[in-house]
Amino acid sequence: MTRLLRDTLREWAGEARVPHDLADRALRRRSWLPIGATVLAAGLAVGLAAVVAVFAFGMGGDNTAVRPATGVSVPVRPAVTSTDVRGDEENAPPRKLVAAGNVALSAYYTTEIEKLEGNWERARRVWSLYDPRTDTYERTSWAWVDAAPGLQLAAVVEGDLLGKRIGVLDMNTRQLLDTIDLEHAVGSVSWSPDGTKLLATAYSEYPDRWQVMGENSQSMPESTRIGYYVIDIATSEVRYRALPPYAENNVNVRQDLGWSLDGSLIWQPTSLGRQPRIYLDRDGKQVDAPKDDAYLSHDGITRLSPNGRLVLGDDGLPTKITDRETGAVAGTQRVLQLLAWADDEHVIALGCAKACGNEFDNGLVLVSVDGSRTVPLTAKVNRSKGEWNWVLTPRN
Amino acid sequence: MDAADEQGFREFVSSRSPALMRLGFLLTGGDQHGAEDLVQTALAKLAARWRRVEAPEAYARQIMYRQQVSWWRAAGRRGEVVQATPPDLPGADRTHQSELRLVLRAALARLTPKQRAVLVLRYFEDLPDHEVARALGCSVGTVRSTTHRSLARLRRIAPELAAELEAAS
Repeated sequence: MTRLLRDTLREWAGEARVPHDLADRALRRRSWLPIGATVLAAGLAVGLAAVVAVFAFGMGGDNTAVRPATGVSVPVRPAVTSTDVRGDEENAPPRKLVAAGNVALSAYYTTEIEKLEGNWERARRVWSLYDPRTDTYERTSWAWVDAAPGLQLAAVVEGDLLGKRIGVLDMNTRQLLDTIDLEHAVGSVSWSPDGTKLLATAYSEYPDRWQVMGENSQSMPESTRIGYYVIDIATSEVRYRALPPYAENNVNVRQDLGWSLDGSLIWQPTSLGRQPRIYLDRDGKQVDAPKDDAYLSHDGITRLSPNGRLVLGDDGLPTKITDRETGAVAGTQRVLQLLAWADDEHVIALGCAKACGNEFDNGLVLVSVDGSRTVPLTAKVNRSKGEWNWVLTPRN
Repeated sequence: MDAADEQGFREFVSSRSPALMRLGFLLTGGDQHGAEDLVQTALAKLAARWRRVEAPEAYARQIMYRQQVSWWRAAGRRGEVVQATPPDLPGADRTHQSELRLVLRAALARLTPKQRAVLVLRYFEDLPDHEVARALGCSVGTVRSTTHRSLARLRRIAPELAAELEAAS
């Protein structure tokens, strides 16, 4: 009898006391809610406040489908969006969340060089994944980690260097919501832009290894790529396709596949300047590159501003941002690389220390399109040996 | 937010905070402080985007629903642990409606936030299943199965309510 339930709820609700100062509390809290950043050093506060003010995004909306068998909901987006600027100016790799506008540093990895038998060496990635419970990055033992857009779920490869099992992790609870067992070992995994599918590249042997031939001389073996998986998280459909390495002038042993910007195609990397990516359709058939291929960055994020008007330029120093239609330079920046748009006027970039005397002394910064304002997001350290490498992910 | 916006926001809070507190109180299982935190969080987020929100109450409620579920996620599933000791129950002969309601409150307080949220949205807010699903960011099927499980759990916690709640599922 629903009557009892309704009456009980109504009567119980009536016992709630209404504080007289809720509006004051909310207004006070609002003043610090969006800017919890350590980067808010005194001199930069004004600039950052302006950055925060221009970010405006809507609610996540009705975008969730549920997979009944496991309860994994995809795509998962945060119920309440965040666009505040967060940084950890003291540390690199950062200990606290780094984020600005619609992009967050969801994970990073460090590499450890391991000596093997004979003259072989290999690089082992050690992954740290953002943990929203503590607002820090948690070191993990997974072979690969990729956070989905929205930073609610992460895909992880379970295994030592390579793995035959992929887990879907709830980043909020750190519980594995699902595991997918594979026939072939994979060395990387990547979420589709809409956060509904995974792309995992399979290898017969761990690819990040080489022979030391002398000082500063390495001999790379043939690539060991054998194929790839596309996994639909919502339906559990797992599709494997064999795909040998792309051999023409290609010395890369690791040849991970990636998604096109709209997620409708996948691509394999080449070493060819004229055609850095070869696209494949759902059936594995080679197709022409989509029009927006020119805007795809190395890490799978668009180089086009959210309003579609400006394009991030090539590595600097300095770098430049140009008008998409006219090619006119909209601004130059004294940074090393432009990495991702935080909003229409600000970009997460790789900035160098002081006067850029050594380009390897670098760290993440937030820079304005006109280059006039730069705010550090991490400390700047020497990264000549790949001390840490970031993964930037859409936040909302 | 300029002075006029702030005035508008204060008027909104003044007129709608009783309703929001009632909702928060139920979502938190009768926890006054928890309800204040929940409402306060929702209002702070609302204030931050006051000019851009067309339906402020709906927005605040949406944040409360999802915040409650996300707190539940972040806190783990401790709310679902079935305790060995049943709650204090009235004697079997107490069948008066007001006593049944007290028993039901105690049982509702022991549901997980998500289970409670589904029942509150369905039976207090009177939302149809598809709107409950939209509010919580899940499917209609999940709403129905959670409702079913929640009522079953209430019956387990308070067997004397079984007959009363049977018809609700």
